[in-house]
This record gives sequence, structure tokens and C-alpha cells, in this order.
Amino acid sequence: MSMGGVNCFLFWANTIVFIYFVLVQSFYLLLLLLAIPELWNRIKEVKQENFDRILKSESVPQISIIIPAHNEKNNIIFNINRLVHLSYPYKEIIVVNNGSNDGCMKKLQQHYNLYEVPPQRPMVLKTEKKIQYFRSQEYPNLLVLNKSKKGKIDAINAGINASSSDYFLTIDADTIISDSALQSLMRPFLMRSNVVAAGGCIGIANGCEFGENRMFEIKFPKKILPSIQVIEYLRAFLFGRLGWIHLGGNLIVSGAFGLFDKQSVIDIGGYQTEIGDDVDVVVRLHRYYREKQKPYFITFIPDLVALTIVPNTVKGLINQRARWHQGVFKAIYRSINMLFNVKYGKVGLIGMPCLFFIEGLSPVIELFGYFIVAFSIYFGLFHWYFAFWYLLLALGFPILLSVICVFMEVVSFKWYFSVGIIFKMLFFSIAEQIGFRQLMVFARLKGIVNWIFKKENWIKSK
Amino acid sequence: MNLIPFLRVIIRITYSEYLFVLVLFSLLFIFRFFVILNNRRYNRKEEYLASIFLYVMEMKKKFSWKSVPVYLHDPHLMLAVLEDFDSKFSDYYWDHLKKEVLEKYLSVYSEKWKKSCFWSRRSFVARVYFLDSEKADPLVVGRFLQDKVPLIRMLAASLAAFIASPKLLHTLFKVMKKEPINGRYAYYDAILNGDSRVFSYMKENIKTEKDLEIRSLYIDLLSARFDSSLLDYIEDDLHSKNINLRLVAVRALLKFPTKETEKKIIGFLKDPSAKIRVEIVKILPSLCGKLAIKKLTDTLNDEDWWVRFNSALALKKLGKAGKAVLEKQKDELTQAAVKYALSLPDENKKVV
Amino acid sequence: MKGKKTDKKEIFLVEDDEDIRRLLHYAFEKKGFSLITASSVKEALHFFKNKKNEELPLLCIFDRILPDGDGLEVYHKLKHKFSDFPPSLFLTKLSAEHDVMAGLKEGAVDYITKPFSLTVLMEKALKLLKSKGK
Repeated sequence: MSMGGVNCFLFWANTIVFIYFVLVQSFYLLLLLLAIPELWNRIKEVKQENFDRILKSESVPQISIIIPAHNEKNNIIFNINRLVHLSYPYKEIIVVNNGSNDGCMKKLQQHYNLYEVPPQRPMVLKTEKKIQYFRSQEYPNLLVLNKSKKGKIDAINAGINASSSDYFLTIDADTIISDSALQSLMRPFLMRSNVVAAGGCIGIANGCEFGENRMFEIKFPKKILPSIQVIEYLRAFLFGRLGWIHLGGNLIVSGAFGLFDKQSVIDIGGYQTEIGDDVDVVVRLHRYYREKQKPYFITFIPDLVALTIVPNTVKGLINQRARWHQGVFKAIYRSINMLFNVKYGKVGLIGMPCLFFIEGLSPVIELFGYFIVAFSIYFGLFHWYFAFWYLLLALGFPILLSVICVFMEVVSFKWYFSVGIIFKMLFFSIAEQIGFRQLMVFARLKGIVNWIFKKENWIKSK
Repeated sequence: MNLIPFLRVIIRITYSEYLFVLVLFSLLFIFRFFVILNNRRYNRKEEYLASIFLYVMEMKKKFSWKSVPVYLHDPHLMLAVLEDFDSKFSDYYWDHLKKEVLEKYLSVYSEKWKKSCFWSRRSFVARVYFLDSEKADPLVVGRFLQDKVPLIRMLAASLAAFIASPKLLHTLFKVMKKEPINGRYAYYDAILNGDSRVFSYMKENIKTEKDLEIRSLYIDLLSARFDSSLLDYIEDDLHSKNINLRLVAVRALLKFPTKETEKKIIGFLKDPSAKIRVEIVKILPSLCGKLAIKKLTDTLNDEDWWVRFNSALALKKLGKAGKAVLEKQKDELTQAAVKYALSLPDENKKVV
Repeated sequence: MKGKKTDKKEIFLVEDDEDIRRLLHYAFEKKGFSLITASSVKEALHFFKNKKNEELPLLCIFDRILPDGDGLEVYHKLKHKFSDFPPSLFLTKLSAEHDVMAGLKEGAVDYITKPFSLTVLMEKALKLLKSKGK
């Protein structure tokens, strides 16, 4: 191989990676700029808003909360009690026992005085047929479904079938909803027509203190991995989601938490993919409404609505992220006809390509970058000095974005406010780029590989 | 490859990146310091103001502006504390105090800001009016009803229902029709809690209103207050081709069941719309008691599953006779509904 | 929890709002009663933990929306624990019909919704206390 050829290759390879990097970062900057007026508006609104009006009203719509539960004996009673005592007046709680073999069902039966009833509603979405339904003597708005294990989405679809409300949200058994979550999520549906889905900010439950019923105190996690994820989540929600509202709507209403219009989800055939179910449903919603040319709106509210437990082991984290990335690819592939398709408006021209190139392909490009480094070292063309500055530049921008994020969080939400915690957050913003980021690249590549070879192991990471 | 010029650019950008990080870092702490200071100051002011108000209420004294130091003269603070107290107390002394603060102080700001282009200021005016609806300016309320910010529209709806002038009510219903169905809850609440003149207005206008949607709003709201004279005006609506209007009219009919209307009501069991048939089925037990059993046995075989389901529940409510009918059912179509109704615990044993 | 236990004219209040606590404290003190307050379900249950039937207050007032639960459940628990639980009334923001009915069905003597009139509340409370023999 001639040195001229290698040089040429390296030049072009470097340029491609550099251009990609510049494009991605400027896009993030754009998202940030779009997010700021939304956040500002919302902060002002919160001061003027009177949530009591929603609470006291007798005409707000009912919401069904669907909880697929598999072997959740320890958390389930605590969680259901919290849900039953939420202050939103009209709610129905549907617990779907997904083939638990740890005595979960028996515990529920005893605690809530359950009695069996036959199915009340016709099965609109296709699910497993053998389902038992139970109602509670003490809590008339609690419905428990008992079925054998057939995947989480089968459980959610069964819950949707049994729901009698027009709106539903699904949460995992270990996600904690904040008290004002239902009111906050309902607001977009009340304020404008044609809202189909609404997502909210999700915080990290690791390290938080939970009291009886409604109260919890937000505290910073104690271990390293969850701490770094705090920064990640802040970034993703604060400008990721907020910024997208004006660019055609969100493509991800985090599966951990979102309020959906039930009929719309039934129209698109319910939840269909086990992995990446959240991304897939939202992408399909976009596709359905754009194809039918019906007005619709998918939005995001920057209020903290739920806390979720994140993995604190490396293995668990890798599995989780691999699964997420596999889901992203799956969702894109299933709706690949939307990519760059003018028929799908902003979603096809901006949303889907960004999902693919920026979210999807980023680990590939990063791997390619590392490959170039190795390649040039091998050929003795590696300029250490140049590479050093280039690296600092490349890492500096994400650090800057994270710091801006921390700033926005301290200014607006004040969940993490003490000096010690701010120092920690800033430290982890930097630490994230050294080690964690590489771990993410590895995990996402694993996800892509899994997708290519169609591995569907859904291992729950704790 | 000459990389030096690239290198220079990169170094410059990198320096500025990290410099920016450092600047933000320090700004963050400065900002945080000010936020905490401001919050503390605000909380202290709020507590002091609240204790002044509480003192007046406890001592049953007249409120004097001399007891309020100048640094508490902040319209947003006053309004926030007034709203907080207003949601808790409705005393004679509180009313006096509230009116004094509103008239002598907050009304100055509401006059200044009623035409503001900032929505938060307009919202301030709406909230001030809400606290003392008698002093609200109807022209401003009319403008607020058509404001582009939903929050302001909802506050204006309550004010319009209170002032209840014909012009305002006309605008109110016009705007209510445009709101998305879920967003109307605030208007419903406002009208149901509003002045009785709103109901007189609706009664007058239902005779001549041609717009079908507004007619259905009138009928829905009028039927909430017991007055059977409504039935005189909704004859045509009961047979309207518009399903929503017909549904609302039938619901109104069901609110005033009498011997005369009983036949009419039962006639609707043959209505083409399942939604209406369900309403009739639900009311049959309380309308004709055990005589409903025969009718319900027929509706158990209705083509719509929700009608079948509610028929089964209604039969369950009719005690032993109804239960007997359910147990006799062998038809596959009705099995799901029948089984469900039979599995529910009996009425008097239910723990709710 | 604040309150002096000088004589046996005790009234118990569960309310998380400071302004209301202060106002009622003052109003009852003026009439010669001492008001003992709790601001959460936990505190309320703790107060009644070791009480005997003779030591119960003369009247109880419950708010419903408390930071860690519902006042209705507290009342329910206490009613079942003590055979002769004093008359109780609810003082709360929850004003929908089903909420009022839930409170009355539970056995409360009255259900007062916020915003409330202090004069009316005092009148009702004093009447209750008089009928019980002060």
C-alpha cells in the first residue's frame, strides 16, 4: 500500500468523522436553542397555574394506569398503594400479573380482597386468550389480570383491552410516579385538540428516599454508574425531548412513562415489538397519522413525572443499553419507508434521519474513529500532538453541553441543588467522557449486532 | 499533509470550549447563591405578610396599610398570598381584608396591565378579577375570553359566568364551542358554579338557537339544574339526525322521568344509536322497577356488546327476579355479559 | 406537635397548613380550649398511640390531604381502635360529592369544605362541645 494512498485514505476518513462530529454537535446546539424558550415558558406557567382546578373538577377524563408485573412481590403492594392514593380524581389501576412464580398473585389476593370476574370488555388487540380478571372489594378502581408469561407487550395489550378509560399510561412496577404526574401529563390533552401522546421528564430513583404514600425526596445517587446516568438523563430530557417539539414531534416517549390516547394506540395495532416497544409505538403513531393525513400532536412536558431505578452494575447497564439500541434499529427498520420521505413531513425529513444517523449510527462512526487511530498508529502517521488537541476538542463539546444542562436544571427545576451535588454533577459530566462513553459505544454496538442477528433475549437488568 | 493550520484552529476552539465551561461553572454558583438569597427573602416576606393578615383576622380588627411595611408592597407577592388565603378562608373579616387590598393596591396594577402584551401580566389581571368578581371589567373579560392563552380563557370563563351579561355569555358559548372537548371542563365547572342568570340566558336562547353544537351545550347544562320545562324545547332535538345532539337531549329527558315521558323513554330502546340505547337500559330499573325485566331480557340480545353488558348489570340490580333471568340465559352471545354480572357481589354486601 | 396539656379541654387538629393551624389555635385558646395539632398521618397516629379512652380529646378535626396520606384513613383507624372516639369533623379542600359522602358515611359529624368561615366553624365546634357537656 503506497504511503500516498494511505495518506489520502486517512485524510478522507478523518474529514468524514470530523464533519459528522460537527453536524451532530451543531444539531444538539440547535435542539438546545429550541428547548430554552419552551422551558422558560413552562417555568412561568407553573407559577400561574392552579392545579387545584383540575383536581376539583368533575369533568376531567379518566386515566388507566397499566402495570405489567413479573415477579415483583416486594415492590408491588407499595407501588399500588401509592397509585391508589394519587390525587388525580379519576383513575383506574390495572395490574397485569405476567406469569409470576414468586407468590405475587397470592399476596395481591390477600391484601386487596380480590374476587374473580369474567372479562368485561371485548378483546380488541390480539393477546393470549387465557386471562383471569379480579376486582377488589376495597378498591373498586383496581383491576388485576392474571396471565402466563408471554412478554411484556402482551401484558400491556391485555391491559389496554381491559381498560375502560380513553387514556392510558404504562409504567414498570419499579417506577415511582410523582403525585402531580397525572395532572401534568393530562394538561396538553386538555389544552389542545388532537393530542395523541405526552411524555414527561424521568428522574433517577437510585438514592432517593421514599416515604409513605405520596412523598419522596430527590437525592443524588451514591454509586458512580447511576450518578453518571443522572447527567445523561438530564441531557436527554432537558434538551433532547424539549427541543424536538418544534421539529416535528418526539420520536421517543420513554417507555418508562407516557400518557397515550387509547384509541390511537388501538388503531395502530397496539404494542408490537418486545424490544424497543416505546420507540416503535411512537414512530408508528407518527406514520399512521401522517399516512391518514389526520391532525395529531405528540408532545413533551418538562415536569418531573416519574423516577425509575437505573442499573448500577456494568453488566446490567450494557444489557439495558444494548436492548435500547436494538429497539431503535428495529423501530427504524419497521418504518424505513418514512426515511427522507416528503410524505411524512418533518418527521420523515428531520426526525427519522436524525434518529438513524445521530442516534443509530453514532457508535459505528465512533468505532470507525478508533479504527482510524489504530490504523494511523500502525502506519506511523499518527500525530500525537494533533490527536491530543483533537481529542480535547471532541470531548470538550459534550462536556460543555452537559454543563449547560446542569445549569438549566439548577435554574429551572432545582431537583439537585446543594453545592456538593453540583460539584458532583460537574465532575461526572467530565468523567462521563472518559470510560462511560466508550462503554456506551460498546453496548450500542452490541445492540446493533443483536439486531442484525435477531437475538431477542430480554434480560431484565437490575 | 500539512496539519498545522487545522491544528491552530482546533487549539483555539478547544481553548474557548473549556473557557466557556469554566465561565458557566462559576456563573452557576453565583446564580445559585442569588436564587437561594431571593427565595429566602421571598419566603420571609410571604410569612410576614401572612402573619399580618392572620393577625387582622384573629383580632377581628380593621386592616390598616400602616401595618404593611413598604418592602412588602409587591403585587405578585400580595396576589399569591391573597389567593392562598382565599382558598382557605371565607370569613367576613377575610372578605373585608381582601377587598381592601384589592381595591387600594392590586387594582392599580390590574388597570395598568389589562392591555399588556405579556401573557403573565394579563393572567395577573384575570386572577385579580377572579378574587373580586364584582369589580371585574366586562370589556376586559370579553377580551380575555378570546385570548390565545388557554389559562387566561379559563379564568375569564368563570368571570363571565359570574358577571353573566348577555354579551359576555354569547362570547362565552362561542368560545366554548371552539375548545377541544376535553378542554371544556373548565367552562362546565364555571357555568355550573356561576350565576343563575346564565341559566336564564340559556333558557331564553334555546328557543331560537340554530347552531346544533351550541344547542347541545345548552341542553347539557340546563339539564344539570332540575327544571322539567326544558323538555318543552327539545322535542325536535330528540329526533335530530345529529347523534351528539340527540344523545344530550335524551340524557336531559332521562333526568326528568315521569308517567307521561315513560313511554317516550322506552321508545328510545329502538334508537339506531347504541349510545342512546345504553342510556335507556341503565335507567330502566329505577324507571319501571320489576316491569323492566321483560324489556331488559330483550336488550340482553342487542347487537352492541355494551348494551348487552349494561342490560345484564341492570338485571342484576333488580334482585332475585333479575338474577333468575340471567341464570336462564344460554345464548352464546349473552354469556360474557351474564357471567360478569352474576359474579359481582350483591348490592348490600358491597364494601365501597 | 404543639399544645399545652394543662386541663382536660383538649381539641385535636390534623392539618398540614400552618396558617390554618395558627388561626384555629388562637380561636380555640380564646374560648378556653387548648388545641393540639399534628401535621401528618404519622404524627396523628403517634399522638393516639398510647392514649386510653378517658384521655381522648373532646373534639377532633381532620384535614384530608396530608403529605403522607388521607385524613379519612386516620379517622377510620382511630374509630376502630377506640370504642368511644370523640365527635369529629373534616375540614378539607376535597369538595366533590363523593368525597363529602365518604366522610359522612365514615361517621363524621360534619364535613366542612375549604374555603371555610372561621365563625361558622367555631359555632359548630362549640355547639358540639356543649352538647357533649363541655
